[in-house]
Amino acid sequence: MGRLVCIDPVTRIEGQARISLHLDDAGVLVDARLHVLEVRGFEAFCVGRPFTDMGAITSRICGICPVSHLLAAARAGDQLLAVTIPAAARQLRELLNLAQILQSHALSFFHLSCPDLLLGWDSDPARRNLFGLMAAEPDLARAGIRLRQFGQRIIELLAGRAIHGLWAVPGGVLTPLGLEAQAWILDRLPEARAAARLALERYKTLLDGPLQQEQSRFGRFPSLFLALVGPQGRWAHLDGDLRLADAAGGWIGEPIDPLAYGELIAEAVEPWSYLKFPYIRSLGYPEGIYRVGPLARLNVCRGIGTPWAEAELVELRQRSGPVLLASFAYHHARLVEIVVCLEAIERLVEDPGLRSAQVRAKASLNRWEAVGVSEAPRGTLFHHYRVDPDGLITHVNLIIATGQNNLAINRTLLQVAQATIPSPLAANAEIPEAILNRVEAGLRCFDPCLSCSTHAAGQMPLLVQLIDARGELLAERSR
Amino acid sequence: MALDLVIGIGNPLRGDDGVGPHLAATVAASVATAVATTVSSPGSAGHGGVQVLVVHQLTPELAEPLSEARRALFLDAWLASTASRPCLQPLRPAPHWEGSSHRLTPAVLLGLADLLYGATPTAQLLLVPAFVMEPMAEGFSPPLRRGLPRARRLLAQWLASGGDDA
Repeated sequence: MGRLVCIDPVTRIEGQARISLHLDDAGVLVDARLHVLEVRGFEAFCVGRPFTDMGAITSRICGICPVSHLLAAARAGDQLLAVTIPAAARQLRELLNLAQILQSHALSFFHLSCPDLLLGWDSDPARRNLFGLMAAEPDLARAGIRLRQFGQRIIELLAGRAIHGLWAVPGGVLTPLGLEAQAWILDRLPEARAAARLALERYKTLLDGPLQQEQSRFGRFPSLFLALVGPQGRWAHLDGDLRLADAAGGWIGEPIDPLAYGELIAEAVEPWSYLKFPYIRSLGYPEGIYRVGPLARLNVCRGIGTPWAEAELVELRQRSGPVLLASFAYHHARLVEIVVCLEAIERLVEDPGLRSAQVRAKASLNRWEAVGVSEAPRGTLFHHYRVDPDGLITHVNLIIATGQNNLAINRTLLQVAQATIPSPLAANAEIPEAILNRVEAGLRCFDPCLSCSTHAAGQMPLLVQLIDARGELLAERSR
Repeated sequence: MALDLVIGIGNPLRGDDGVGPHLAATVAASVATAVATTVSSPGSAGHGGVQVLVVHQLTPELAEPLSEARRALFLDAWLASTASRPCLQPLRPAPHWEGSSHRLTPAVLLGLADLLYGATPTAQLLLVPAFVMEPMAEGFSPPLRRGLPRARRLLAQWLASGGDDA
């Protein structure tokens, strides 16, 4: 008789979910599923609201990545106004997004992933947490705290507050960067650079040691990759062309018009999860699997354009191959992106054009449909709006990074579970906690934000269920 | 400079959950200092040596300013029965992990401050009984409003005690 293993709740991720592992009659693992258990339905209650309110409304989807929604909403608003925003406004929005990516990646790496990476998959679960990490590696923990503070403080300096600031608006931004704020950023940059260097050095020692196999094998499978790229194919996060790359890193077709995203991406649903399953329409479901986020951005870009990050990208590719196919490499990609963010922040803040007082273009409504695209920390974010002649929203579709990674998350869970769970699994055999933790870690590679992807509120515990071939629950384990 | 740190915890868009930020705002107004929304500028003490922070939830970043404070007061709502009244509770650093990575308890945060920075303030928690914590709700329920005068009195006593409560 088959079995079902459940990991419930999943810990150290954003949101609420369960993982189920499905065994056939012979005890062989045949499927792994991430069940997202919450839904809030932001799209529905945006209808009827002025498009100028969309930043304020959609940024409330999440407390971790509100900036991403604010910027996507502002960019969609620019298109509805049909304006070209002032150069300083574009730079200031870039600065805000870089700070957002920086602080989110710091949270993911230092607080959520390091307990596994530094303390070990098999370490005592009672110590495998932030407390244990801080006891074992206090210097690294302090550095992580300060690095995340740095990103949050930049957001606060620009937007007035670190969470749910409403500073980016259709047509630009509300205020320029002050001299005092500029000085503060430049003053703190060396410390932030030192923190990033410490994290990279520490992480590479792990890759040369206990994590050597994970970097090349953990969640490794071919897929497509989607991301924005800038001029000459450089790494981009706000402005740029939307590009799809294949598993060999080659670009597929021409740059994608964001307004035509519906021709590229379709969304499937499954009865066992509230999280949709976007896929590349031309390849069908589920063959049209693709990944977004740090891993995808580094695979799609042809280079970075800042010296330290460029060198780190070269080294990453030397270690893991020219195309990063293992989901585990998301962690390293995040560290490389932290470096990009720091270098790009420095470049922007030193640019005298950033202090221009002209930061907003004003116009009335000129278009009735728009798609705002930006790179959120976890990947490409789409905000699609239609409005009536009064500017009131008639249709909203939000396609979120974690949703786009949904197929890849499930593939990673299955691959990790197949690699770690004995097969066939004897009836009533216990699955050690360390193995279940590895399965969980497959999910954490993606730093999923289920609050955003289901537009739902909540935190994320984990349940693992063992289900037999007839769908009956045989065992479950929760945290 | 050693200072008093007041941390209001909660979400003003979730009804009674917003009472922590509400009380923190009254402290900020009374000491004529700006209310910071994060801990990213921990060195900026307000007038009278009181720093006020407002957060949706407690995060590890708060360990640093906490370690630099002489006294700390956490202001938070808790779901309670109608008979409950606002109360002050002494806090001790937790010796081990409890809770989630995104939402720490005041005791765990004190434990992190001790672990990472080797210092913790004398800390108390002002708990205000809450009755309605619905999403997208502003304002307070009638029973919470009835408890507000006592909560403000306890808060004023803590501010006035200047360390005598240690």
